Amino acid sequence: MRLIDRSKLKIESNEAINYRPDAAHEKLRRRLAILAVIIAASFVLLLTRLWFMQIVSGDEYLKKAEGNRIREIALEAPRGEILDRNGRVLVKNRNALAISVVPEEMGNEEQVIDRLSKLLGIGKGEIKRKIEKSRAPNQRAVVLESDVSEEIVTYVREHQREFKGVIAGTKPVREYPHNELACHLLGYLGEISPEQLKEKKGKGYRLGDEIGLSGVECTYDEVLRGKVGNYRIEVDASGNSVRQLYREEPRSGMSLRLTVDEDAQRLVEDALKAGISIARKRYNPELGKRYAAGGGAAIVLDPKTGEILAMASYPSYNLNEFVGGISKKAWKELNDPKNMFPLNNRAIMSELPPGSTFKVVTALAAICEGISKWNTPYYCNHVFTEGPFKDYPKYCWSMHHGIDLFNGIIQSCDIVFYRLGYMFWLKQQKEEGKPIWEYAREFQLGKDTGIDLTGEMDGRIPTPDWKKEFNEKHGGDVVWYPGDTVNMAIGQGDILVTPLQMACVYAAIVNNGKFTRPHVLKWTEDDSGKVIRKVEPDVYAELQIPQDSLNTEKTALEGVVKGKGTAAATFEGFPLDAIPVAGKTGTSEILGKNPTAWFVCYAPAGDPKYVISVAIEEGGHGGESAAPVARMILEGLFKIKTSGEILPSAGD
Amino acid sequence: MRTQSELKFEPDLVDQSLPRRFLKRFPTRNIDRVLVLSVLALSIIGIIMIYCATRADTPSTYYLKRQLVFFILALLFMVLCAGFDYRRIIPYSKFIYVATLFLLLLTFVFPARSGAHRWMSIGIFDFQPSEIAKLVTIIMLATFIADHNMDMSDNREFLKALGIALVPMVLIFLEPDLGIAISIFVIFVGMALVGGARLKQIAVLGLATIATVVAGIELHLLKGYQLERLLVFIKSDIDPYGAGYNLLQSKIAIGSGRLFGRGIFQGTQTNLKFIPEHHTDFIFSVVGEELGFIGAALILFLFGLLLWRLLRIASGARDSFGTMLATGVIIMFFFQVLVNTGMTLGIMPVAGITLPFLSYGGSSLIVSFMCVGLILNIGMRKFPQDVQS
Repeated sequence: MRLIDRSKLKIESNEAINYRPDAAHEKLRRRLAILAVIIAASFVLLLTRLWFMQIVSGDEYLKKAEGNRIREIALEAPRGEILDRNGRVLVKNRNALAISVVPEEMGNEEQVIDRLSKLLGIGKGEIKRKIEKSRAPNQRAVVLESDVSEEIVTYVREHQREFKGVIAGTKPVREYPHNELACHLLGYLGEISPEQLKEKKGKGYRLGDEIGLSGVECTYDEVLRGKVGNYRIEVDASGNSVRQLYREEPRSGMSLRLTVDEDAQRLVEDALKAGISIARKRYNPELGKRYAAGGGAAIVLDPKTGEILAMASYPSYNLNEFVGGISKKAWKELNDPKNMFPLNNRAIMSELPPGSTFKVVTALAAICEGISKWNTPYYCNHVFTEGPFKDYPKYCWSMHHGIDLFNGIIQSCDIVFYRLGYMFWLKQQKEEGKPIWEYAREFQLGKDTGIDLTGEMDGRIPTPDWKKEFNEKHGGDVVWYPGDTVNMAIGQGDILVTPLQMACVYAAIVNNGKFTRPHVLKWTEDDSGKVIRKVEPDVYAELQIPQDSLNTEKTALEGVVKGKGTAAATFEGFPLDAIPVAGKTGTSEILGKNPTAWFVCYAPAGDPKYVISVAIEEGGHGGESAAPVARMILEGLFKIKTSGEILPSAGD
Repeated sequence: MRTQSELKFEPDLVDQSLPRRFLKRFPTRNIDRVLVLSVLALSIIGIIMIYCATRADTPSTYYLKRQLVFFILALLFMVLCAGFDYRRIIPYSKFIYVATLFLLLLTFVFPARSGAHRWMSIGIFDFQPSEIAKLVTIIMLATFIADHNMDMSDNREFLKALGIALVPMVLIFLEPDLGIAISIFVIFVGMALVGGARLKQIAVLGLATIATVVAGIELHLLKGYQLERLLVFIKSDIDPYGAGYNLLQSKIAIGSGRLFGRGIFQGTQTNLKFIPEHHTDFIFSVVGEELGFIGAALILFLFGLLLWRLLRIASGARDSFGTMLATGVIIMFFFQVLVNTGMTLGIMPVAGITLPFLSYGGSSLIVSFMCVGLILNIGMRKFPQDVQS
């Protein structure tokens, strides 16, 4: 093959312009014309498309371009701290290293999740669940794991290309320097649920936020959380920040100054724990085994102001386990019935029969109704057989022989109160005067105290109507028997109260009938410590009981800790002359279980600074298990140094 | 040998100096000024847009400077291509063609860059033989079709012409450079049709092509990414971070330009690198974003102007070779404009075809200007008195 065609090297200079025959030329022109039409049509198509994209949908595309370019980052507001009454830190914040993802920026999601799963050691399913749960219109990072190691953060930062959309940074988290101390009061945080989100609509809550789920973290969540800031940056295609466009600083949350005293709280918790461990070693002859003493509560309340100085519940839990989201295993353990529900704040959530501690109410009711006088004589021969009780005898825990109402309180004689109960029953039959449950209600029992903590229970004051309604539903006996009234007179039967309610009853007695609302918040303060809102004492109810009756009862309560009193043994060696103590033991029976041990007291008796309420579930008798706890607390509060063992008292 | 034959026809030029000879042969009064102005405008807008797209790189004027140098080189090549009677190419067509095939083979000797044997390094400039192969194939086809009296309706001649296109096409496909391979195929179809082929022949060719592509997929000859690229424009909205990402970002860029554009240097999609390959394949997206509908429509208008002038020259050429050469160039430019802008607008597949005169790249720019030079050449010499004798 010849590459160069020599025959054509010569160019004919005088060639005709149109050497082609006309027909052929026409054909060619036609074909070129068709080509021109095709070209023109294509250009019209391109221009139309351009018109639609730029003129018709231009704004939409512009929005997308802005969405590409602008990244909105929420600046988390530091949550307020929680301090004790003296300003000592109970809860603070720290910056934790955290791995989060922005789902919209992940690109190949599957691949990134796979890498994260390997790096963090969490299942792919769990990561996906977390992302799915927080995938919201508000583009924000989903925290996958808090408190990761420095190496993990460095690794992600160095391999950012492989971890598209993954942020390795810091995140403020709660820190609890005292672990378990006041855990029930303070409360834990958790991720907001969709229901809570709906409930808190319009208050700046967002999906994925942490929210207080118990304690003051919950009641004062809106105060503590502050306001989230906003940070808008321009980013390039690889997600790198180019410049800052807008910034609104977050406003940090208010700090809470609690009424709680850190030292008192520790003291009360330790005393309760010690009391419970002693009770567990004690043998219960009735059941033939040791007391279970599964849980208990102790409260120290300032009766004049309603301030809670300490509130302990046993068992407790470590708040630090909740930092960065509690692990599944730990959560399961906290909710295992075997572990006696450590998350419950028993001081406000345990509904227990008050036993003999209720006798203060019965006695005052009887005086007011004219059923008895303080010195009306009674005779205790251990068994009560009056009227219908001939066939269903009721027993006293001891044999007190000749006794009056005043000493009936001191020695907690059941016969005296069975008799009062029976009188109430007789009057109730004739529909004369106020029934005993009305008095219980006047003592603010059967409804919550309104303390600023969540989950408080109402307790229960039984009435014939209640019994009918309740047992119709639950298939029990609907008839109100004389035994129901008589049981209530000694704080047994269907009556249920919380340890806090009992503390409030005794606070009202020492307060000359005034009920001051119990509370744990003293004030809220801002960053600089300026007080924003102070909680003032709130008298929410007042008893209509003559002052002298209250005074006599107070004198009787002072007798409980000495002489023949049911807690006398326990307070042996306690400087009662300097710090007079008044109180009442209680032992409430629950069929088939160990009795609940109660002791409610106040001191100094003349001008009480503290009301103390102690309840130990299945802890035995009030005198033997609860009263020693109260004495330990008193010793601590008044800084009394005593030697020797605190003795249990035999009293009920 | 060549000079001897030339001397035979132009004995009076022997004693003249080279520039004067050159000017004498350059019938400047017939130059199509509109054509020249339109390509100059396109190139200058292209250089500005390349600067817009790449000024964030370091050094910020790297691409600008290079494209300016290419532009000057391209102008020289254009003048050179217009400076001799285009019919002098005819005897050398085969030689040029074979030499180009050799160059294409040679690219396989050079080390592959991003998995492709497209470039030959010549110092600081990477030469892309496939670009010149487009022009050479057009020349070869024009020679062949003109030689056979513009009658491609004959099946044997049609197949021969197909063979001429197929050899460089296959070589380029193997580089691989799917975009240019497809361009050559389309150039062949267009030239064959203008050169007398019947639609029936093209239909059979179309069926055969489909069969080949299907077979290629079945036998895994087509690379995965090539297939994906071809299919992706259908589902670009579903898969924003996958293969359709580029397309979606390009559409966002153009759309957000609206009527007047976001202003020069103001395009966020461009500046923040959301548009991929924004100085090469996606330069039209930069125009659309920064200059808006006005700017993009101006570009299309200039291309329309260019193609109109080219068509005028094609139909007014004094011989079949000139007509076919111009036709080939028209189809090449038209196809590249349609597919490239169509791609950025999301109505054409992402085939890796550059936008002539605007996309960054020396080979493409120089070859485009050489094409323009040759067509100017044809237009200048359509009158007998302009032909050297």
